[in-house]
Amino acid sequence: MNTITKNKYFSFQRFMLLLKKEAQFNVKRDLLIVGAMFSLFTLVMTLVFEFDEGNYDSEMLENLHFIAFTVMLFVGGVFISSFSFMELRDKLKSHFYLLTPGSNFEKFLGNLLISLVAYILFMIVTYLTYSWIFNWIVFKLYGLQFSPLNLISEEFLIAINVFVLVHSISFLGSITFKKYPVIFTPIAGFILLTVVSLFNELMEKIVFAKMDLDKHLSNIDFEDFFGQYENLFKFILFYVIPIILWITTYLKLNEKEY
Amino acid sequence: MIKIEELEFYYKRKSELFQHLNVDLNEGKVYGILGHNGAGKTTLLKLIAGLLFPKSGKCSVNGFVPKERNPYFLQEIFYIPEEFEFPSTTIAKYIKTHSGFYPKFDMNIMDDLLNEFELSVSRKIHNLSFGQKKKLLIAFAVSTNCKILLMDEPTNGLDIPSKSKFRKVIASYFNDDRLFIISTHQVRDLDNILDTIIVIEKGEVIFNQTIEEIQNTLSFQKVKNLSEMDHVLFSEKEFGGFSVLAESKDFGETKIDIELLYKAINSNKETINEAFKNEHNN
Repeated sequence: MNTITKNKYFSFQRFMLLLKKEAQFNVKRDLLIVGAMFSLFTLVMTLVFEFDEGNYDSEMLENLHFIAFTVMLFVGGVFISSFSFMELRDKLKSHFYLLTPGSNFEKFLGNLLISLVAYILFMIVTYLTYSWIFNWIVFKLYGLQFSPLNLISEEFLIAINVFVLVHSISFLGSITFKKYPVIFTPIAGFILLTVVSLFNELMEKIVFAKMDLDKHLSNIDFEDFFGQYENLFKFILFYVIPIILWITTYLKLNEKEY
Repeated sequence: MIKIEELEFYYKRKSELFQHLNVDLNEGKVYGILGHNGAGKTTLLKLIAGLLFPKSGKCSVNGFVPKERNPYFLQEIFYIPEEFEFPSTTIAKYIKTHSGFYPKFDMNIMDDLLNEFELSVSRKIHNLSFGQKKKLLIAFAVSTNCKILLMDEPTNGLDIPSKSKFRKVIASYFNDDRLFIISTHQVRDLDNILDTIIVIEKGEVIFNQTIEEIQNTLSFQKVKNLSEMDHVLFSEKEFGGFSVLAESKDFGETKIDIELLYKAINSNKETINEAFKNEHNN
């Protein structure tokens, strides 16, 4: 009976088999997404350099790679994380996925690792290589010098943190919606925010009905208030919420039926 | 090995499929689950596999609760659905990627079965016909050496020679440690491979007897006139006479006609079950 209960949640051997399986069947699609983004960016930049008059300000020269990397990281990341648990959305494939001898935790972790950690690392390495080649060619052809991507800047770390939050949302969407999670996740997010805002308005009208709330609010120094709790807000937003959403994703995977 | 007690299941609350389902299935047997479309055959297999969760009641498979989908449980169970889709890859790559999950996977059996079904490992799965894909899945399932093999309409899509090969494969690779459950409405395809026949109707087990008990209790005859026979439980007119199901008082052991038995159960389950009770009391 011991062998039955041990490693019920995690076995390195099983996990590696699952990773291998995921990589074999999904890596082509993920590479296509990344490839498409790099191709589009290259095309746009070629057109800009060819047809623009060449008046680039220092801000653009400095920030181009950071902006391009961030946009690509988010766009590609939303797609790739939304494609997690893809087999569960297909009636003809889902039983294979659910009955593959691996724990739900291993299946969850495998998808998380691929769509978050592996994706971020892959994007950093790929973009650094790309930007190095890009800078070299642009300098040779147009004499322009773009600043390289700075991996230790505060902006870069914030971008990664925000991406982790966005990932956790679209990761949950990938297991919640049977069809088109890329579309339905933002719609659901928008509806949720609208409901929260309406609830907020309603509570304001009920609880503070006899109070001139606007007058009281105008007396509060929000900059000071948020500054005081900035770290706490960041901690909740970048660490607590993603973890809650990932746990919810795991629980939803446990509940998945055919 | 499989114990289902007072299981309740429904897709929609208003139309319950199983209300108080009780079934015991043991290793060393090939069970045939028969029933009309919508009787609950596929649902029962999915509940056993852990693909669906009971609303109440107990379902224990090999000591595990299927809905937990414990990896050690999944290593010992393989489900062949009626319809499925393989990933886009070659047979060789599929085997290489998936066989590792099953500790008792036997590559020699896989090679033998691929030869038997005339499938080359270099072929791309998406180029195979549905029947060939089904044969590949059956070959893979048998090669896993899982204790429990669940097959939902396994002969659907197979040509006549392949149906015969399927029966041969099931008979060859079955052993006393394994339990096979075959759900089908093509009863003729299961000739000679079943140990026990279970008939489900409206979410209830209305018949559950071993082949041995059926042979001891019932007799399957072909006669020109019904008046030639006593103790007739069910008859069906056919070209040149009648197919008759009777109590086997004087006829000894006869070859079981599963289709006739199935029709008889559907026509009058009480009479058929009564015959088994009488035989048991005698």
